[in-house]
Amino acid sequence: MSAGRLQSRHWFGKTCAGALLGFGLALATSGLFAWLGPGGVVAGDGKVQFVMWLVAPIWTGVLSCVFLFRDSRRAWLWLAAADAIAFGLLTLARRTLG
Amino acid sequence: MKIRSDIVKVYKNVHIWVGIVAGLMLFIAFYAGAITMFEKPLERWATPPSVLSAPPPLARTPELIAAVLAAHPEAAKAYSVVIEPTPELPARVVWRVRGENRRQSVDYGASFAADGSLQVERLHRARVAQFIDALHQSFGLPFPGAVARPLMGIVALLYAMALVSGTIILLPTFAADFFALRIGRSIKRLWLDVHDALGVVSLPFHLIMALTCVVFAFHDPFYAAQARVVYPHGIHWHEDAPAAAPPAQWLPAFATSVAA
Repeated sequence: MSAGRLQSRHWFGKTCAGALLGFGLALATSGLFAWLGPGGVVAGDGKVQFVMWLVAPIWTGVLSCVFLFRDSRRAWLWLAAADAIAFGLLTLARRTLG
Repeated sequence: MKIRSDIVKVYKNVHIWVGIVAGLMLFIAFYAGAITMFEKPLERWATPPSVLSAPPPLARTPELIAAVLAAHPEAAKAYSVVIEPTPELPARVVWRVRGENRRQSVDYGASFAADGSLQVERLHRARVAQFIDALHQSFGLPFPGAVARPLMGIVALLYAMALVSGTIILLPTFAADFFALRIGRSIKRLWLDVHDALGVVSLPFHLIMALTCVVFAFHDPFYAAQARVVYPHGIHWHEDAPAAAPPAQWLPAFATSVAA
């Protein structure tokens, strides 16, 4: 077994990272769509609903793909970095467009 | 399609463990969900038939309404004339007495007995639909909604993981496995082929079910989080929810028909 092979380990840590940071990522990404998508943040009730619906596929997508990380630490670090970037962009969008 | 064998192996484990953890609850939810398709026929079957006399002809309706209002003035608030009575709605004139909330309201139906006197019956409906709904929405768990709903949401998340992992496992051998149903050699292989074929064919439906179930369970937290993080002034709905329309087969009675 070479070191690069993926193994069925660290599931608890990976799943927690996917559930928590994956939800954060879904929240920030859906927020980015709310601000930068068609109509902006004041596009009305239909878009508010759509933005809410966006959370489900992104969250479940991250949660499903989290087993591709080699270990729990990498999952937490990469997802935390992705969260930081996404929330940073969301804050930027809110500052400049809000 | 080529996928590294170690990735396939990990996702095989994920698929197996999700199946072990959530499979039984998903089975209950699927089965009850399929039965909800037959909710109305089941309700009709479980409801005892009405003991009212046959509805009087439509021409005698004003007479019946007058008799009902004389005996039950509370019906004046909301009564309906049924043009074509059915087993579910077996009376010419029906009305609803509201209770504390919608679930506690009671429906009555009226007819004329053979001797011309007024006949009133409380219209019962078997509670089979509520039972199936509870089974479908919370696996029949004896917990309040605030507990059962997040549990169901977690099962829905596992369900989505099962769909993704199952697809990843199948992709490398998709062309070879999809049209294969290897009968004979091994029973295990046969059932796996059936599982694969059913899974691939119904995958779009499964995705919709998994995602809608996640939203059904968690939409309140989703909205609450987005109201804090995304929207500058929270979420304000512009359109009020439309008032619930009355059931289509009930025609509203007009005050003029009473005066007639």
